[in-house]
Amino acid sequence: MQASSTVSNRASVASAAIGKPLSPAQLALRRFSRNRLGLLGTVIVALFVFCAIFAPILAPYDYQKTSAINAYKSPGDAPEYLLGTDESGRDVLSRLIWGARTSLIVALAAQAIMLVLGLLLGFSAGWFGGWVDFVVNRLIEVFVALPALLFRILVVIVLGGGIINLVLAIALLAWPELARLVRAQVLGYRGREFVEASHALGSSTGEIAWRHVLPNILNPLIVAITFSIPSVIILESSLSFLGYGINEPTPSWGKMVGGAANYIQSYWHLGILPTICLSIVMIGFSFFGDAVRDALDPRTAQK
Amino acid sequence: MAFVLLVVSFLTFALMYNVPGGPFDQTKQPLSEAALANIKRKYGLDQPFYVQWWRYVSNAVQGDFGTSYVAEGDKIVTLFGRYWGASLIFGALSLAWSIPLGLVMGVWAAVRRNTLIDYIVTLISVVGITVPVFALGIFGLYLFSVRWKLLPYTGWDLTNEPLTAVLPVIIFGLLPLGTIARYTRAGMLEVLAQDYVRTARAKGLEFQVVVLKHALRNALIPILTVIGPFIPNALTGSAILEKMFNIPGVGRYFIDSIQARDYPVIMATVLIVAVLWGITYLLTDLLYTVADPRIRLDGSKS
Repeated sequence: MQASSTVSNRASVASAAIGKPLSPAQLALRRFSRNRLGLLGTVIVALFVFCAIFAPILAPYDYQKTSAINAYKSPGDAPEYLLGTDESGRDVLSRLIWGARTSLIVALAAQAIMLVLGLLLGFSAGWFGGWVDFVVNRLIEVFVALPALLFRILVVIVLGGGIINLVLAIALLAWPELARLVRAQVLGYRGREFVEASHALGSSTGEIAWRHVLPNILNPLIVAITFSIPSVIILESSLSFLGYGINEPTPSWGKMVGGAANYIQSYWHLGILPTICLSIVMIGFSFFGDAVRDALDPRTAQK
Repeated sequence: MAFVLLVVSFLTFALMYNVPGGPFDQTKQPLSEAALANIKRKYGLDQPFYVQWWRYVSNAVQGDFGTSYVAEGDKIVTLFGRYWGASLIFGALSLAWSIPLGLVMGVWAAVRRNTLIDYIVTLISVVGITVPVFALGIFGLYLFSVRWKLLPYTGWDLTNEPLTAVLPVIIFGLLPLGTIARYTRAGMLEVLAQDYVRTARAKGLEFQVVVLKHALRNALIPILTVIGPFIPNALTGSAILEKMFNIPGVGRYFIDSIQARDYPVIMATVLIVAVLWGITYLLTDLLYTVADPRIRLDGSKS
């Protein structure tokens, strides 16, 4: 990694010498494309997103179509069911493909809510200080002290299962980390000259936040998001695994594993296949996130 | 901390107040009107919400979390103690192997940077950190219990069948192992590049002495911040693994209580776990000041 970054530095010096300076974004992209594990991660993440988007086209069967005669087919038993069938004869491959879509929807929706809450509360705390900062900080303390998984189960039970409630249960307890990050970043920019200048020229707080502060904290924010999306996917699958998440008949990898845990001695594929999908996607996200962080923040890449 | 716990208890209480269905539902337990009213009065369920909450909190402060609806007459403190034992042993065993091994792996990988050892350590940490614990559990069960038949299939019996503990303890430890190894490696690489390490080497000190005495000690402080949160997490059990491996711990008890709508137990578990979290955080803060005298307790770094 060290070697590649010195190469890219030299390249940027060389291109600057011939009068074609690279923008920070181009430099970041260059660093990113030199990271082999990062590219592997990108491919995995891209495949996952592709499956999620085109699930209706890719899946060979309807994910809820049951067929009693074809129940418990192992992979290879029947040529028409490539990865076998589950306890009610539903095609495992189709459910795996649709499971990707469920994971992605939950991850993006929860992420959006966390982002709105984290930005609003974190910015207000850092910008206004005083009692606003006090209240937000106490709020963060409370939410950090809650036993997260147990409390989420409780929320799902009160609200009932299903995608929307699951998203709420995940997001409403996960925003403090983002709020902390935003608060710390905003504190660093509050007294800076360009912010004061904009203020003196009569910009409103919202304008300053949107046009001057947000673009500056974008990089750490993007890094935080690339790491938080997989953790949301883990939460979704863990809650679904325990039975407090996605409801039937919507397919979810976690729920598939949870339902199959008892059959693992006789029908290994029901538990192992969704586990493999989930593990590969998680490792892919991890490589992808590391590469994004190294590309956007060259200082950590030196390590 | 008292304020935080008060709010936590209020949130939990408010949520439970709205849980659909109760332990005395007519469908579960058909009772006459009068009997139902009596039971409700006995447990104070006829009072308004805030009265119930306040009475609960004032009792809880004195260590009285009430009695379970389901295991009738049993004090929750006694019940919790019984289940917590298993979780405590489970968590402690998992940390007992993963923290030291994580440190050793991290140091080893940093010293042998870019060799096969480094790559293996990195691979193990990536898997431990990113793969969710139930996925690791299913893999482990399938490979070691079903396919190779090396270990027993679920159960938890330390005295008669200690082998039942091997798989869950290994799997529970993989996340701390991976995280600690990763941060130790990064911290050691940073410290090993410092001038004073080069000086120590230059004046002829043994490499091992420099690594262990000079480098590791300075790399340890950021690692402590990473280890800290694992301790409350491990000692309060894992709902997922306890359910998967049939371990009679707090996590499984909590899930069973939710299914039975055993409000006092749910409430007590959330609160006690929150207290344990708070205490361990305080303890790790104290630990930092021992490891690094520059850190003062008021949070400033001179």
